[in-house]
This record gives sequence, structure tokens and C-alpha cells, in this order.
Amino acid sequence: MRGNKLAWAGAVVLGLLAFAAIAAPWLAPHDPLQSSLPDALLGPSAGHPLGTDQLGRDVLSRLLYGARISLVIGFIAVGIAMVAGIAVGACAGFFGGWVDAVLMRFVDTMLSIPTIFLLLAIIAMVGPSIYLIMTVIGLTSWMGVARLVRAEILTLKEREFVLAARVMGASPTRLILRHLLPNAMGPVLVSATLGVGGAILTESVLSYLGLGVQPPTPSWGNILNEGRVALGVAWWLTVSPGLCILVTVLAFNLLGEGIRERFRS
Amino acid sequence: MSAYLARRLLALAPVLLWITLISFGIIHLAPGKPTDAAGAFNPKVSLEARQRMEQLYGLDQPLPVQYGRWLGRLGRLDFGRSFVDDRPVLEKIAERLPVTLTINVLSLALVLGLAVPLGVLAAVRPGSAFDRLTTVGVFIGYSMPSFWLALLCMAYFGVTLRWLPVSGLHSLEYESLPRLAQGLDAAWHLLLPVGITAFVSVAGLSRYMRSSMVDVLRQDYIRTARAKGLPEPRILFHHGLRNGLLPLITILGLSLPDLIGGSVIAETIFSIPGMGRLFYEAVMARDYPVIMALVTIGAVLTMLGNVLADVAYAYADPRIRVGKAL
Repeated sequence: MRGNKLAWAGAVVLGLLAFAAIAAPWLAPHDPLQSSLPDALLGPSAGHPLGTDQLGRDVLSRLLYGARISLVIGFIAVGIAMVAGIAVGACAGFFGGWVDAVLMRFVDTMLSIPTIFLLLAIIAMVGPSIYLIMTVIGLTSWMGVARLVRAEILTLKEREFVLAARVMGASPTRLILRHLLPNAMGPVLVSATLGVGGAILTESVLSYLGLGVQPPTPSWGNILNEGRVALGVAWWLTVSPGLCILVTVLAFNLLGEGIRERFRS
Repeated sequence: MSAYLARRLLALAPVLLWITLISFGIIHLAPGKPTDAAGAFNPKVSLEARQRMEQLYGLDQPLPVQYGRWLGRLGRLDFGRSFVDDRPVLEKIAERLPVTLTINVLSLALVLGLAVPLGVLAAVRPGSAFDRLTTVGVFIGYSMPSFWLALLCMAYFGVTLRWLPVSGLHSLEYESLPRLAQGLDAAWHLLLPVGITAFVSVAGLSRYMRSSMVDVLRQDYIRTARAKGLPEPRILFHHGLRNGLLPLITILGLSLPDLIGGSVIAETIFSIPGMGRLFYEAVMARDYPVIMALVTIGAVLTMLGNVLADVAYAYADPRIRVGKAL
């Protein structure tokens, strides 16, 4: 019961957040890119509820537009990770043998290379762009899903209904897509929900290191990064984007755990 | 036991091959040649010097030949020289390694010291006020952007209160201090980096500890111990904890890449000259030999860490040894 309440709280927060991101143009009191140097580093006030940054831009407006970027990155990165993870896991589990061996050794390898090394190296080499960031975050976070799906498929493929479909002459593609994957979706859904929070955290770390979403496009990570310079005189620049990240990731984690509990019982 | 170990090590060979392929592949993602960057960062490098460098690294050869040569040098632990200062890469890494190792060992000790008692206490009475409180704490800790926490701690403890130093490993007058004061000075500087590095891991690990302990305390032999009338602390620590700690070995092995990743962030924030910051600097300067070396070494260390964890598990849990090794 308690877990459910927390999961609901997470869902409500995420609903509000999605609304805020979609309605950003109507909710934002100012243009997020409009700088106005005389208004630089103002504290929170009625006109600027969360103050202004060193270029005089309204922080609340930037956070609202940043929510769009951060959420889109989170969802698309996870989408990529799910597709890659499901494909690899399904092939490894279904075909077994050397396919399984090669794919799973590749999974082991990806798990043993520190993710941040790969992310930083690839983004720095190719040059940061929002598409590359989503892709690379996705391509460095699919391994858990691959293992999950493989394990599910291994147990499912010996079940009667799968054998029946096989006897009726179903092709491997049909077996995987129609009979096996739909029954393996529970754990995948949980890990996708938790993954969105993880991807948002990763984007913020990359932005903090200067290799994330590039200014002037606001993302929570780069708002935080820009605010860090003025940490001593304008704490609101650093505190508010960090809180946004914390609350959002927390909401995704609570919701994910809630779904997991639901599947278990 | 030795047969088990040999099999585990043999299984590493394909992973090792993949690792070298990936490290080699990364630097060839960039448009242009690696030497372009070395030239761009040092305008004094003439065209001839650049060509000489290309020949030295075999960059005029086809990719498979380059890969083969690099692999050959890797086998002799020759990682080449840094593009930035022309020093051997291995030397640069060796001087940074102790710093990172110290921070990670200390933070790991802190993590275990906090996570194990927290997890056990929460598991003793599932659903109690303490359990619920730690559950909420764990979720918050797990969702916390650690670099943000680091910034806030730096600002509050370092700048506002002036209690703790905000960057580096030593004070300016470090060399002139007596031995004991030197140690205190270093510890003082390590407090924030170690604390922040530990923070996120405590959340995750205490969760694992809790669920592992809850499972163990439900077992029949715990009920038997209770029925025999053993005192509760003895049941908890002698019968429960010894078994509850086992899964932690695997989790610790798996958390190695996160530790290395955490070092990149913590060392960048606190300006600590360790391996993590070396990697960040190398990436920013496109210092390919250093990048390739660190990716390879980081991955190999993680891999060995995992094997070590498996072996330790087999050593600690006789059931594994009997089941798999023989």
C-alpha cells in the first residue's frame, strides 16, 4: 500500500512536469533566451519568481523550457536503449549457441568499460549535439535490458504455448515478436521507467562537464553549469535546476519501483 | 578452486578482444587524423614533424595494420607517449593512480561502514519507522545528482562557513608542515571528495543489504536458532550477517565502473589530480594515447575486479565451489 502511494506521488509529479514542459510557451513569464544585462543576477521576486542569471534571463522560464529538453533526451535515449537491448537480448536468448556467446561477451565488455569514459570520449571526438547525446546515452545503457530480456526468453521458449506455435510452423521472427517478447515486457517496462531518470541524470553530468546540450538552448544540466560560476552570489541559479533534476529522477524511480511491486504481486 | 579460476580467466579472452576493439574504434570516430589535433594544440609542430608522428604511430597504414601494431605494443604494456607533453602514458597514469585509489578505497570503507549497519537495522524490523525512513532516504540518495550535492557542499562548508577546503589535495604550506600535520591536512582535503563519492553508493548498497538480510532472516536455520533460544544478537550477527553479506561481494565487483566514473566527476569538481581528471583533460585535449590507455586499463581493471569478486564469492560460499568447480 505504502509503495503504491509513493508510486502515485511519482506519477502525479511526472504528469505535472509533462504538462509544464508542453505548456512552457504559455506558462513561462519571459522569453528563456532573452537576455537583459541590467537585470542580471536578480534574486527571486514577483517578476522573476526564481530570479535571473548572469545574462539577466529569467530562470523559471529557462527551467520550463529546459524540462522539454531534459525529458525528450531522457525518453529518446531510453527508447534507443530499449530497442537495442531487446534486439540483442531476444537474439541471444532465442538463437543460443555462438550467437548467444558473441552477443553476451559484447554485453560483458560494454558493462566493464566505465560508461562515463565512453560518453566523454565519443562526444568530445564527434562534437556535442543534442542528437549525438541522446544516441550515445542510449547506446551505453542497453546492457541491463539485454540481460533481462535474454533471461525471460530463455525460460519462456520452453513453455507449451511457444512449442505449440513452433509446431504450427511459426517463423523465428513471429515467435519472437508475437509470442515471446509480449510476455517479457514487465521487467522491461520497469527498467525503462528507471532508465529515463538515469538518462536525465547522465545528461546533467555531461552538461556539467561542458559536453552536454550546448548553450543557449537551456537544459537543466547546463543551467546548473552556468549558475555554478555565480554560486557565491546567486545560489538560486544552482539550487533550482538541481532540485528539478532531483525531483524528476526521484519521481521516475518511485514510479518504476511501484510498477515492479505491481508485477511481483 | 584452481580449475574454476582458470576457466574464469579463459572466459575473459573474448571480452578483452572486444575491449581493445572499442578503445581503438573510439579515436577513429573523429573526423580527420589524430595528429591534426596534436598539431592544432601545438602550433610549433611543423608539417614534417607531423608526418614523422604519423609514421611513428603508423597512421599512414590501413586500419587493420594499425590495430595489429597497437595490440602488439599493448602486449608489451607500451601505451605510447602523450600528445600533450610527450611523456610516456604509463608514467602519467602511474603518478595519478595512487590519488584515485586512495579516494576510492577510503570511500568504499565509508560506504561499507554505513550501508551494512543501515541495511541490517532496516531488515531487522521490515516496515518499522526506521525502515520506512531509510527507504525514503535511499530513494533520495539514489536520485541525487552527486555533482550538484558536491557544489552545494563546497559552497556551504567551503565558502560560507570556511570549514573545509574546496579544492586540491594539500594546503599551500603543506611542504613546511610537520609529518602529523601533513596527514591531517591531507585528510582535511579528502573529507568532501570522499564523502560525496560515498554518498550515492551508500543508498544503493544499503538497499541490497536490506533485501539480502530480509531473505536470510526468513530462512529455516534462523528459526531453528531462535527455537534453540540463542540470544538475538548472536542470531543476527553469527547466523544472519555472515550469509547476508555474501551477495554484497558481487555487487561490489559490479560497482567498479561506477567508482571510476565517480572519480571523473569528483576529481573534476574538487580539482584533484587523479586518474579521473587525467581522463577529462585528455578528452578535452584529444590526447589519443592517454584516452585509449585509460579506457583499456579502466575496462581491464573492472573485468579483473569482477573475476576477483566471483572468486571471493566461491571462497566465502562453499556451495558455489562444490557446484561449479568440480
